[in-house]
Amino acid sequence: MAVDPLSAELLYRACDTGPFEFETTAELEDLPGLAGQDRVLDALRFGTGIRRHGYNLFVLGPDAVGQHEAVSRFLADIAGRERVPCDWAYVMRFAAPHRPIMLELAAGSGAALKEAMAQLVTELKVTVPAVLESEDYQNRAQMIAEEFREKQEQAFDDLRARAEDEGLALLRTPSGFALAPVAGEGANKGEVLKPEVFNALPEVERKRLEAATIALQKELADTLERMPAWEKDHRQRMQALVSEAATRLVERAMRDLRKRFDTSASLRDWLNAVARDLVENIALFAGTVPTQQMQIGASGQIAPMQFGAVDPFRRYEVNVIVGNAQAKQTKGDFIGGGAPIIYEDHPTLQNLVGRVEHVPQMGALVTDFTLIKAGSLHRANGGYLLIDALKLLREPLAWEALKRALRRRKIIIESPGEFMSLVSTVTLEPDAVPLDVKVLLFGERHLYYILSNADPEFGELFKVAADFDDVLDREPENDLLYARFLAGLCRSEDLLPLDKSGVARVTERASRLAEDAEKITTAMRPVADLLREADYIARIKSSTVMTAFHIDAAVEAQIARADRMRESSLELITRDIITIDTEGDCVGQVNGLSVLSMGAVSFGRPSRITARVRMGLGSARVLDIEREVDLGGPIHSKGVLILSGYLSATFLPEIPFSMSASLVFEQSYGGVDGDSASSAELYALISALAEVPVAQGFAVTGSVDQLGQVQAIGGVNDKIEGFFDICMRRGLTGEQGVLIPAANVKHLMLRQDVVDAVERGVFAIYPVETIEEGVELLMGVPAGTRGTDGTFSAGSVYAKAEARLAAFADNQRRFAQRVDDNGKRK
Amino acid sequence: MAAHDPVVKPVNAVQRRVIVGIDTDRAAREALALAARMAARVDAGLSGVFVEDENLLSLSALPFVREVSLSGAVAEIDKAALLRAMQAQAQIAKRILQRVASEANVDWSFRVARGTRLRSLVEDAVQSDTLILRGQNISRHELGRTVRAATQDARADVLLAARGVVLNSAFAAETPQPLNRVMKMPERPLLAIDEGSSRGEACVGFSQSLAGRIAMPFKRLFARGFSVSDLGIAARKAHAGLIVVNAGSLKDDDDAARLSVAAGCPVLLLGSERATLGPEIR
Repeated sequence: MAVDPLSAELLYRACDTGPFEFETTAELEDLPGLAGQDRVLDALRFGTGIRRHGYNLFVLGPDAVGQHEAVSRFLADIAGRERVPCDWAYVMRFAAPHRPIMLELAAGSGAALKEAMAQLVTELKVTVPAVLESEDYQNRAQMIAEEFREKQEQAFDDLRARAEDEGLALLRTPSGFALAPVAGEGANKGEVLKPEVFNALPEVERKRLEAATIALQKELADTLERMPAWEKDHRQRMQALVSEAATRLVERAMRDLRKRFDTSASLRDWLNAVARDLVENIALFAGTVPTQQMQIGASGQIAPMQFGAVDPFRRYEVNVIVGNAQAKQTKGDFIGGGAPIIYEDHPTLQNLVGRVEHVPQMGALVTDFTLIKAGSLHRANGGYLLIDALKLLREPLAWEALKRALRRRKIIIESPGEFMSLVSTVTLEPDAVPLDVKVLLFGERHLYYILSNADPEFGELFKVAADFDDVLDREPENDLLYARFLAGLCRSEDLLPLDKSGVARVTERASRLAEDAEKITTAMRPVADLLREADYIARIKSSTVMTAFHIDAAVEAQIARADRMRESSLELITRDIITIDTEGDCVGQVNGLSVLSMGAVSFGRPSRITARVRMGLGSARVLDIEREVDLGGPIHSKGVLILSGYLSATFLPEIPFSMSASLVFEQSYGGVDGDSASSAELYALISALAEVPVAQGFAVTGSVDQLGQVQAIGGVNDKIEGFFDICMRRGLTGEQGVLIPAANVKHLMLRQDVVDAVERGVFAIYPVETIEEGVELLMGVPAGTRGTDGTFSAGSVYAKAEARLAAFADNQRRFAQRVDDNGKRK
Repeated sequence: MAAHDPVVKPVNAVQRRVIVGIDTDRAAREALALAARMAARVDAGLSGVFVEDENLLSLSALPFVREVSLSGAVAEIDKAALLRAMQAQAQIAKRILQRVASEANVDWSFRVARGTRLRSLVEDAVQSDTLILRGQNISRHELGRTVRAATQDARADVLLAARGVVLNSAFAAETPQPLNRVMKMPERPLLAIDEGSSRGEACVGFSQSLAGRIAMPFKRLFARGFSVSDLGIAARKAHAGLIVVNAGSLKDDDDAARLSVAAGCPVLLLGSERATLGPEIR
């Protein structure tokens, strides 16, 4: 039954540098992305390969694993072989300016179309005035104008001639015309007769003049009434002339452009609309139409006031919101490749689906299609969009907008203000853009599970989960892979290379971070931080490589920087403010071990666990004081209840159990959770019950089941080191050590000073499989086994415990049979 | 003058003047624009005359006479309203004159006269002045009479643009830049009519000087014994932008208007004393 302490070799698994055939990592090639993450690789291949609706990816894993970098490398490889997606541009819908038209253009041709349209406008600005001012055009226009004028004047001349024949004159008045009799001879010939002269005329003449005046007045009125119709006819003829000249001009100017961009029906339709609009508004190019007139649409309705009011030629611009001419270059947030890979670092609603900007103009907020800005969905269309799930969920409306876009398979620009009815400014309703994108969400596992449970659409839209392993198996071939990973990291971060010892020490540190001697953490960030700090130290020491020495120094510096809480905790114990005995014996008292975690810092700390036992009332009741005051968590309570099961099954299984016990973490004022102290609690209870003292030089960790099997726990290294530090400060006696579950031996990656102490025999670590083994180690007496006679071996701890329980039971019975003075049972 | 009225800048008494009748209708505005351009080219002052037409005041007293509006509505004429309308027109005409003169950067003056339209213009003209006449809404005969009165009685020059004559061929505004770049407009010459007399010689000298001043190509036409229609044909053939002719060489009152129409361009009719003044232009 006696358990031997672990040898020093089992406390720390050193990395074997024998298989390393390099001197420094500078000689090693980079590790291809996702080495050792086969499950993720398969998921990514599947998720990116299947071009079906809803097969977007959720990349799960701890944040520090470096999924972004790994997935980006994977995508860059496949995206580079994919087709460059088309360009997207918004242009004006002339019939309805508030609903811009979306054009899909061949990759890279958006900019060309934009330039061609700008050239068209420039050309027309020159040629239209030239043609409209040309002698040929002017002569024709003049001819029409003269015909109109002549027609009018002819009518007046006829009237004037007839009036002159009648002795009348046609005169222009401030607001029209008038006919009046005039002098036919003399010095005043041609002047209107004054009343006295007129009255002096013979009556016959007066009547004739009056009748002629009235008759001609009527004719004059008729002539003037016909004028609007002539005017209309004149305008139409002028318009026809302008249209004829404009059509010829526009068609000639657009001939090359049409040929060059005859790529799709929608583009053809738009170019036809451009041609029509140019002809309609040709006067713009002659500089004769006030810009305000452009606000009135073809339908005659007043269009929303637009920014284009400033520059009427904006209507012919092309707003290329996505241009993929440069797609094959790494630029900005383009990571590379034929298909775009966009990482959206700030996934707000507008950054995702785009926005329509406004500019103040004459006190109003105005906009037009040139102010439409692309979102990351537009830019990633035809490729891949990478988003952090947590950032996305934190942004109001963004998650719903992303789902809507993926569900509809189109991008519709939505304004958050409009969406929430906060603003009511004139805005646009641009055409939707068809969406073909793979969205890759990155997030912690719990986020994935929350979304899976809480959002039914999540499963529909993100069917592929790529789950990153936190750890890799620590095998010789993986050590080499890890060395290549470190080599790549050093290169990408521009760090000094690692020599063999440095690689080994980082590997061992990665193993410690994984809390497992047989694993290596895949978390990149803490390892990268360690390398950066070691590089800093190495450069101070003028070293050209990073060695184990620099790694150790960096680890020590990390610990020292975050050491205040640990130091404070140690001081409280060494000054006996918190009572922890590390020598002597004590009944019902065991040193348990716990891990305190504060942010990125965690360390082990012993806690004094005490138990008191007395006779109970016919049942086995263990009072968990932590639970009673709501300081114990549910897992801790479960552990305590398991103890009751073990005790009642181990002792006096055939008679009622008459014990009442209490358990407490002494001087613990924060919460306690987890069941890693349940074995320590059981030892304390057994000690109290059997009244056998426990050696205080030991600390205990491990959970226990109802059968007395000691089970593995987490944080074993921190716990051992926490107790070792106390003992070390008080002076190692050689009688001190820690009992750990045997299943945790493979997790040991202890500090060198602990390993050294064990090697010197001044500290011991015992792997315990059962409670009975622990009892014997702690109390120096065998726990005892039940013999064929049904009793535990004499003098054993369990024999004493059972005898005490039997005494409790007898007392219980005696109490039950006591009678009072009247002969009645009390 | 009301406080808000524009300041009237008097034209220097000895300064050559371009006199134009101003009204608010299109023909009058065209004439005013032409007058302003001409004044700018020859360093003359611009003198605008608004005429309160006595004929209109007379007809308002005849009970059977009606005014027919531009829309064809017939209404009685009220003399007081007519006068108010004329005064309002005068104010508008003055503002137009001020703006046009300012744009052309010429000195200007304005006066309101009461009388008949053409006669009131001529009344104020003196020897060194140029009268601008448009043949709109005026009979050819009346136009001829006015030209004669101006050139012979007042001895002033008359620039006549008959009805239908394109005005921008002479004293044209600056050609638009884009147009200059893409095409070279043919320049229409100033055509001086030399009828073979000493006056004709003087006319040619004056015309040469004027052509240099207004940057027009110069052409001389020997036209001894030419009729008005011959002159018109020759002018059209020469693609003339402006014809300069001694007013005294025209025989009938109608000839001035007929020449302008036949030539398709304005005609500058020199006053009767122009020949004795020589070719200089002040």
